[in-house]
Amino acid sequence: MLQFNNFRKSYGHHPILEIDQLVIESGIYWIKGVNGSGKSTLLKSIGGFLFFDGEILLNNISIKKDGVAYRKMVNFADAEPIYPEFLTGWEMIALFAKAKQATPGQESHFVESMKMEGYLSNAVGSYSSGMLKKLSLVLAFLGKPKVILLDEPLITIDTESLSILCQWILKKHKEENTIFLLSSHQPLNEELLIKARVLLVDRQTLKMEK
Amino acid sequence: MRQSPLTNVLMKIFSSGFYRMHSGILIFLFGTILCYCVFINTLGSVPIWAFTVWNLMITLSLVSSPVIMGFFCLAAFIYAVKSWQYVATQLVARNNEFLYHSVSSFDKWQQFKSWFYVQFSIFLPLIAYALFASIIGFNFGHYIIPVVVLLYLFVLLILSVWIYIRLSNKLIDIDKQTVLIRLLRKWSKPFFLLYTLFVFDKLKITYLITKAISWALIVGVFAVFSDIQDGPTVPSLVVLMIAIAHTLLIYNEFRFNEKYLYFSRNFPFSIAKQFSTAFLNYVVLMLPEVLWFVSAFGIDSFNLLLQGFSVMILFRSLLYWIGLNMKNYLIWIFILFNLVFLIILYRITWLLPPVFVPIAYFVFQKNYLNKNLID
Repeated sequence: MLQFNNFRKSYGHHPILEIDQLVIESGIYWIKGVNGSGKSTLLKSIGGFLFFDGEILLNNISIKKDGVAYRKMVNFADAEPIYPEFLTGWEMIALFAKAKQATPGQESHFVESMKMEGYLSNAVGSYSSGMLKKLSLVLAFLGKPKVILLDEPLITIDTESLSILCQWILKKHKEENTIFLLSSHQPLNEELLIKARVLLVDRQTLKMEK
Repeated sequence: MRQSPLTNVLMKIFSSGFYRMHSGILIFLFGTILCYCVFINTLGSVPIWAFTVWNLMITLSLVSSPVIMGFFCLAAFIYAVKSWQYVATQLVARNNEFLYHSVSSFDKWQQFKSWFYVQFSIFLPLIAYALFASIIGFNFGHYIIPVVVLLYLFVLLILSVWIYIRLSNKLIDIDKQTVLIRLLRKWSKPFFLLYTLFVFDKLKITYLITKAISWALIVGVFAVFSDIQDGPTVPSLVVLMIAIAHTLLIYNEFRFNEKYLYFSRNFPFSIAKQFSTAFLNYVVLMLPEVLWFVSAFGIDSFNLLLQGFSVMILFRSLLYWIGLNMKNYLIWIFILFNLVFLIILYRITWLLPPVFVPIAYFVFQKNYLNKNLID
């Protein structure tokens, strides 16, 4: 259960988002909003990247009071991921697997289903944006996260990979009850659309659409 | 005369960018030199004519002494290497990638003229000083060295233009890796040493220049103050200057963390762990200096090195507060340099680690998720 208490995020004196009280139960959520409405800011605040006023709690663990325990439970994939160019894909996976305490070999299923074995031994600097995006998605699924935040997960990857990603999301949610928050301007795939509830970022706040 | 579009774009990206990036360092250097050498109050009175004569002597020494000319040429070469490094780095930046398929479409003569303008404007401080010294030299009957210096700058200018034309016309090898990275391919790279690897991969010239400055400081300061036999004052001063020489590497570490390791803010690492691990990078990057101090001062080197690292860790934490603002960063470096200088003069350097490290931790903890940084 993800909980917001008097959440306020602003840049300088310009308020971006204000959420007085909101509880997000287990489920798959599609975050909608126009460009610049604050979707990425919301995800990065939940992911522990950005400073904000107020409180965000995950299963009653506060990001501000127990950041280490909180971050163990939250994974994030950026809209446009950037990684050190001299590291290989395998090294990035090993790094995330260690940091997020993944079980040995957990990545194999993801890597094989996305057909990434061919290039993971190459340096990240040589990857196309689609290859980087796939890598970032694999990294977001490592460990035992209670919440997975995916910022624009549908951009730059091919249609075959899109449907594989949807299967990953549905499976992970079904087996581990993981909360998914996805921001996307593209319409979700039909299977996801049936399951997903909509969170609307509008007029500097977040509302659950009925 | 209207500037060609190519010259206009290249000047804006490279020449203006170079001065913007290094303005802080240039102001810092000139500020320090001018303040300490020219405007500082002397003990007793010095007549104005004496100032004029000394300044004239300093300027004339460039055009009359081959040794000073050698130093000037070396400084000009280091400056040129710095500019090559800057242009090469900017050329491969993602937002400048368009240059590869636009610059290379112009004919070689146009490319030569445009790059010549760029390098000429980057070299302006050197050319202006060399011309000024040459005019004075000609008036005092020195002809050979001024001509050699001007010719040397011209050759350096043409060499730079040739390098830039080659760089902007060559095909990019996106899978190119340095020998070190290829050698370490099988090694599981610790997260907290990634910046060190980045330095050996992408910042080799900056690193080598920093080490050359460190070496010059160690040799130069100990030679100048060889008559002072009062224990730790001179070594502490050298340590402080070495820490100052590393400010650019510290700034680049912050930039690397913000750009390439941004994802790690989501990692379950405590603030204390994030804070203390910078120390590891600094120890590895400063290994040559650490070894020299240990061999020269034995057990006493521990105190000296601790002073140096505590100053560097405070510099790093300041960046989390200031952000990527080079000008403000250097202003703070300047203030802290003077403060630590006073601490050394008052011989209370034992204060540095117990005061600077907690302040650095406090600043880091408060600003780790800096609300004023644009995310």
